[in-house]
Amino acid sequence: MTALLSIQGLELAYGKIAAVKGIDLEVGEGQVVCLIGANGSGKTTTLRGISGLLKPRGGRVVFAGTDITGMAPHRIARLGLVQVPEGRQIFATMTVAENLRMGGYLVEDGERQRRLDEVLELFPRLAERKTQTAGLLSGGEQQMLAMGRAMIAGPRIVLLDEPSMGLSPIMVEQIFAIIELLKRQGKTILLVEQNAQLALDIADHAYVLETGRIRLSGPAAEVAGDAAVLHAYLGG
Amino acid sequence: MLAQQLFNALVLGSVHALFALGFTLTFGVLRVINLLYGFYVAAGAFAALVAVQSLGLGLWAAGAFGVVVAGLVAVVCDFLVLTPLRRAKAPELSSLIVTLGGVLLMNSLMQIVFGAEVRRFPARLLGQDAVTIGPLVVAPIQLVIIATVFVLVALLFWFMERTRLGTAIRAVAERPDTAALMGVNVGLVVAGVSFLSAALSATAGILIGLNFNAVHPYMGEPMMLRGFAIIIIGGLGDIRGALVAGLALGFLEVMTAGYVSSNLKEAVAFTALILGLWLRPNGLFGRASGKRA
Ligand SMILES: Nc1ncnc2c1ncn2[C@@H]1O[C@H](COP(=O)(O)OP(=O)(O)OP(=O)(O)O)[C@@H](O)[C@H]1O
Ligand SMILES: [Mg+2]
Repeated sequence: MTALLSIQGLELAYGKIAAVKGIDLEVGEGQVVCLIGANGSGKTTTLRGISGLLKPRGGRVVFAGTDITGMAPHRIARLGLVQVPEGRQIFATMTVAENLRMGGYLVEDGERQRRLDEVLELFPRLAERKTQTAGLLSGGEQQMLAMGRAMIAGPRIVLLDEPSMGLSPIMVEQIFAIIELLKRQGKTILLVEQNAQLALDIADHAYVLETGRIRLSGPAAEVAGDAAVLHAYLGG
Repeated sequence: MLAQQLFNALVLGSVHALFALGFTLTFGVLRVINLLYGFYVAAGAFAALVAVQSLGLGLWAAGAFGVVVAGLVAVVCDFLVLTPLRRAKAPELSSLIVTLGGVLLMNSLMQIVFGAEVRRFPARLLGQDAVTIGPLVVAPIQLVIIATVFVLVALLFWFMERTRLGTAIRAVAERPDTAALMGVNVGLVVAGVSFLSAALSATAGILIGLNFNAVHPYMGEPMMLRGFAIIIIGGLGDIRGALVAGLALGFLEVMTAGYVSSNLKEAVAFTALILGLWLRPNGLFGRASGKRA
């Protein structure tokens, strides 16, 4: 079986500064794969390289049999690859419902409405705040909104960038319960986290990134078992 | 007398508002101070004039022609001049200087091609003479102006608030990268906004040209001063604010000219700008402009 998302020798840079220095990574259909690493190790850069926001310096990204290396982000989105960016990046001046509808920008009206209802059912807190300006939501609510917005697109794969960032422990628990639910529904997820423990608990497979290189990869349980590794590479 | 002044103010204010709507739209989405925007006033008016004189088109067809020509010129100018600046994330001052050069160049070109003297639309275009309605003397063209602005503003609001594309434009204005992740073709939206905003500028130019029956290469310059005052008072990128501030400025100008001195008319925009910045630094509807930059 070939992987849904497959990355070979991906290199990404900001000007002259190399941030990702040739990494290989695979995500199979229905898998949850996590990419963990310390601050500045290149996790966000990798996701931006996959979704097309950053043009790769080298290497290849293949998604669902299509070579998407260097493709414009809106075209990659059309193939069903959806990213929930770091820091949520919700549209603060729009209402909650408008944000969700933007997530379904490529989805036709009837289907979009159906998915919107589904998401509002999954996130009752968003349903209560449907007509509220999204900028006024709490951090946790904004994360729910960012995830709901991605789900309305009906993605084949979701790239989640640090969903737990800056949230209270209770909120983190709720967000991970949602990820767990998506996993049970068979959704394919590439999860970036600094909270390695949480990520490894939920993932099937794990990659550990250190200053732009993969230092370790394998089944999540094995990677988790190596506590020394976690200490060395995650500073945890 | 007062009723007549109020009516004239409504005509002028609605054109100002239309002009400012496009200006605020281009600023909100393209994130650059685009002084070329003022050029499209004259570009639209001249294109319409040429359509009338050389192509023999009627009022509406000539107007549409002028609007489309100005819109297309804007798409090309923005692509050549502004897109590189946006890509390089250049500071706002560079866009100001580059587009200042652009507008000076374009205005001189217009003057070379069309001459500096004031041109006029043929009288047949403007319809019948003014009629007296109660206390008002109303030229039919004034009614056309008010109706045109009213319809265009309503359409613009509907488009921006209710349609998928309008929402996408707002999304691009706020977070272009995130909008791209949702499948929005940002380059195309930017080109569309260039067209749309220049079309509004050109429409304002044509309406002003008709109202005073005067078209000349520099007619956009006094509009730009007003445009700045209106979008700063209304809040940068804020469409509702531009509408209210544009109408208000029209009223202030007409009232100043009518009851104080017409020499002070030009000073009104400046004074309003300073007072506005003083009293409501974040715009009429109080959205912090800093956060949007
Ligand atoms: N826009 C940028 N311009 C220049 N350098 C950048 C930019 N964004 C990130 N970098 C650099 O690239 C490297 C990788 O950053 P990246 O944001 O991918 O790390 P990360 O693993 O996501 O970190 P965090 O856990 O803090 O989110 C860092 O050294 C960072 O300083
Ligand atoms: Mg990051």
